[in-house]
Amino acid sequence: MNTKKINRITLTALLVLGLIFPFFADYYVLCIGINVLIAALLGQSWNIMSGYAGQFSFGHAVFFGIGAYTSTALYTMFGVTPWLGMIIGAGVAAAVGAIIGFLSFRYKLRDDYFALATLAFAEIFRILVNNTKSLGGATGILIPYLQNPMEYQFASDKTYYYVILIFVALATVYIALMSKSKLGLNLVAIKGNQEAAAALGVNVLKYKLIAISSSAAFAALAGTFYAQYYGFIDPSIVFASSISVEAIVPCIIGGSGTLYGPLLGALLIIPLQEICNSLFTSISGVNMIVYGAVIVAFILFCPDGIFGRIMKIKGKKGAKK
Amino acid sequence: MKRLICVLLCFALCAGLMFSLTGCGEEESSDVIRIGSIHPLTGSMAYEGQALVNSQKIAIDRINEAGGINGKKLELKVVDSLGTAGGAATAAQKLINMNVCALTGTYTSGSAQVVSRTAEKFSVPFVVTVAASETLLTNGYKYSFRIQPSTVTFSQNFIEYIPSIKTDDMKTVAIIYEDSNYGAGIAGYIEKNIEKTGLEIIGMIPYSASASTLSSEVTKLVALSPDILIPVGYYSDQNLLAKEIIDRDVTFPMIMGVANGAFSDAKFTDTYGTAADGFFDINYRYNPNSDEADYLLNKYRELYGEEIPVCAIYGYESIMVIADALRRAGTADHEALREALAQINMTDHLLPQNEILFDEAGENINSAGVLIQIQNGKQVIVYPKEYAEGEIIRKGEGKE
Repeated sequence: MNTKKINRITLTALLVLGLIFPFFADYYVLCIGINVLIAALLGQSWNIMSGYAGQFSFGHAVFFGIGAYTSTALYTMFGVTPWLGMIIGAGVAAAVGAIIGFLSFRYKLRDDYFALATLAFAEIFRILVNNTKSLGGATGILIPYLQNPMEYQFASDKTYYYVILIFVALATVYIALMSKSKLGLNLVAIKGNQEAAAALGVNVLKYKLIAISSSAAFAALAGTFYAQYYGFIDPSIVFASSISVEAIVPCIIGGSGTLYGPLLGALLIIPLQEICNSLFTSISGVNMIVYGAVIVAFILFCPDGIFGRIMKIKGKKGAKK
Repeated sequence: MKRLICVLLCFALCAGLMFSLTGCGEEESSDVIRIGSIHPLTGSMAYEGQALVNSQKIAIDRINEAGGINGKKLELKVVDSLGTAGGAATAAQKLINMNVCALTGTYTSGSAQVVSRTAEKFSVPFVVTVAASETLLTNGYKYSFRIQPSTVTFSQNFIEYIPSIKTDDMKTVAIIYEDSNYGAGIAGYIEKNIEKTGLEIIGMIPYSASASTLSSEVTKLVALSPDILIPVGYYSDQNLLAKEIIDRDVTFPMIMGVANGAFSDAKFTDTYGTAADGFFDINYRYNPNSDEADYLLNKYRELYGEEIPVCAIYGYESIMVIADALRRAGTADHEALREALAQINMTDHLLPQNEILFDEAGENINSAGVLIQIQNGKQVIVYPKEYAEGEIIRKGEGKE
């Protein structure tokens, strides 16, 4: 059975599972489901830039925060519906991504240094917004409570669930199409060996910038969704380094550079976190220790992620190894 | 085929994992009334979060020992907010699933904003234990109530109190504040309203709460040499500031914190002893004349082996407020409880204020901070008069 077929069947199965999920979930589990999908969207966004194109980002919060702040500021100040704000936010994030990428690559920052640069940009934006009074500064922005679908607010969490499900599906389809296109092949070439790719005529800078921009746009969609779902944002929430981590962990667990890795990773890590919180209530901090230990175990014993591992199984002989 | 099975199996397992959370502790019981508590029990605010939960437990035990509410026992359901807004929202959902009659929390303003929205969505009453943000109750929510003074109240208290506290030769003010929601909020309000007091601001110095030293900020202050210094910040950063001031032996005619996380804390005076004598702070506190406060302070010391952190009194009071409303409502029904909370008129409480009454937005109308001064290494309430434990000691007085 080839990868194409596996992908198709998995996609169908996942879609069915995703669609029927809310009918079996109570509100608490639905809330976890939404958190899984936010992590999955962030993970897929990170996957484009870091998993496929090999440009490791440690500051995805910057795009998430820009998405959240653009749509929310446009909404609360000018009454622009967040549906439109979301698209503008994605555009702004893509542009900022391109600028960050251009500056970094212009000065030949690579690998770890590039990762550090993204981390620095996330901090710069956090401090910038924290000190911009017109954006609410440190007080943050409270979104009016209207429950009007035209304003990207819904009475039922089920609707929120389906909205984020659509975004995750979009991101996944984008990656599926990308990985088969010339763009995807060029990105993989750049990830493998940038110089060799350049020697073969690949416009390295251009493709890297495309990867960063599209990745940033999806992260911004997640940011707008977060703002609308929770109704309140401040710089320490949406530009937090924990958001950047939330983008990376699903990929590490599920397998970065694979189509379904981040989905699987998010589906595993978010419920796991919740279970740890529920099980170890008596002694504070144990939940974090267990959660950390699981991640360490994955990195030690399954460095390619679950999906990477499975894809290595080849026939009966390979399976035993 | 094998790969496909593996893939599908993985997803199925993970989905199963999620559903394993369904119905977490949902068993319905008719002789118990549950109250939900959302506080940070891990991370940098775990100490305060745990203290709030501890004092809530003291309140619950006290009520249950006295026979419960209308024959039913109270039960506290605690869920860790992880100190994040998202964590607090999930915690709220989880508690609502457990059939709690009301939610309490959350210590940080971001979390409180998110929980108040969830409470509104599900029509569950939410009583804020500690969260001072001025915008918290500005969205017209019907189910959220706050007992503690907001940043605006503290700032107003300063504007009100200062004319009768300062001496006539004091003219200038400098504010040093941490630059987040809370510090910047208070500093901004005071700056806007300072002319009412006849004083003049000659310096506004922001700093980050995570700063490792405030040395250059103190140098700036020395150069400004204001008559009144207003420091606003959390425990650890204000501790740094005080250390710098005390170590360098810098003096200002008056140091008056507003909602200062350090000056009102028993740990602070344990550290500095009489070296911090003379420092003022406008902050929340218990009423020293209240028997209930005595009970809470002693019980906390007995059970947890230390002085109660001041913020934790709101943990106790939040439960008492809900209990009062439950008694009058006669049921744990959300709608009836909300109605009873909105109509509360509670005189029997441990706060330094008149009766607890909520306005339309859900703010405690009579909430107020008190002015404390550190005297002989102890916090003493010196203003307003009806709660005062001692007189104000002016510079140069009181020391032999």
